[in-house]
Amino acid sequence: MKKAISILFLILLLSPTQTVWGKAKKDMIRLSYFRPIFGHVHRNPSKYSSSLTTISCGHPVKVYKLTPTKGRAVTLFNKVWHYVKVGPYEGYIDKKYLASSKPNCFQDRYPKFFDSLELDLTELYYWGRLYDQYVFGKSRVR
Amino acid sequence: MRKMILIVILFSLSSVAQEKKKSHLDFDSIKSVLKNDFLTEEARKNRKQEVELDKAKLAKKKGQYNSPDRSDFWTFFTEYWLVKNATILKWDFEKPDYALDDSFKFFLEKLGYYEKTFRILLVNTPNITHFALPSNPNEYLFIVSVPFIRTLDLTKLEISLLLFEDMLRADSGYFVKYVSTDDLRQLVGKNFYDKKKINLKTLKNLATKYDEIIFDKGFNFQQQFTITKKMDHILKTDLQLWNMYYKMLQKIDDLVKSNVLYKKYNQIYPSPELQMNWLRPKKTIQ
Repeated sequence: MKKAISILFLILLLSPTQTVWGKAKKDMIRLSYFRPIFGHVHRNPSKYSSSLTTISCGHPVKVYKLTPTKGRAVTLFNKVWHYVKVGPYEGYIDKKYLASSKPNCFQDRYPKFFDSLELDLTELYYWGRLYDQYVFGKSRVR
Repeated sequence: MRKMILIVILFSLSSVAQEKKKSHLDFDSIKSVLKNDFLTEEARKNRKQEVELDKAKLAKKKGQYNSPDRSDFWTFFTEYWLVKNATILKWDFEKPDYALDDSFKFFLEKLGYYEKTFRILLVNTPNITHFALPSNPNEYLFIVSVPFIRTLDLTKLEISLLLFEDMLRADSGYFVKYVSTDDLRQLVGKNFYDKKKINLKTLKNLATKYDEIIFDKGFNFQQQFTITKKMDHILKTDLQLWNMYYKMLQKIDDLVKSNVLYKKYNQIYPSPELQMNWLRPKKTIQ
């Protein structure tokens, strides 16, 4: 047990988030808005990483630039993930889900219809996960 | 006598005074003043503005009770169905990146299908193999089973062929036609301000219809024949693709005949064997 705890402690100590980005300087670069109907703020820059919170379309999101003590400033992690702050949560959101202006959300266009579905928390969670799991594509313009 | 004269004088004076007072309260004279100051016009404008404001408020309130129209409804409801069936479909799982976005994109472009937006959801169950679910116009929403593509060892190109076949089914509107009911038509794109609540039973029935077509009924022979002939027609421009499609149907046919997990496939897509027959060129007797 002691061994397991010490290994876990070592992993946490050596993890890149702790060593490089833990003490990084955080500068807000813009305010964005969440685009899909629901989604997650992830603990790490990966769609499979755990969710810190579920947010809905139109939610304001503060996007940050991280400057480590040594090295260059980073705005995108793994090419697609923005470091963000949403309320008390600090995590990562895929860049394709952030809009520069408030999107025209389904929930806002059809509020009573949406409310009448009475979605529970698990369903909201799954709806957000749906947007983590989708593979999006579009064939080019002729 | 003097007294009488005094009373008459006093009375006449008071009547003159009263008349004078009347003339002070003469509304017509006030009206003309107001008219000259444009105050009545202003009051009329204000009243009109208030009425318009009330109308706008009511319209806004009523607008909140709009149901999504056809251009917004299908993707929303399909996602709702996916969320409700998350545990059955098992789409929330970790999997390798198959790069299907790029392969299907190139496939579509190769065949001349431009500006097609699609999303693919991989599911971790053999209960459903592949499907194009109803979605908003100019969008496609596919589900593909990872166990199915792994068992068949399908290549990216073969998966693209499967997706393309589903795309043609979606374009033909078979799914939407099957699940659409009169109740649904009464709901989509309508306003329910008077009722205040939507009939949830309609959506429940719609979800049941989704289950029916996806897990049980599937498509009929006529629909399959039409789609297979369309595939034949389109793929004949590229014989390599046509051959690949034919061989893929052979693979699926072998699988559904040998693996009990996929015995329902023929019920949903009747049937790979028939499809091959329809594709095979007819022998001419000389």
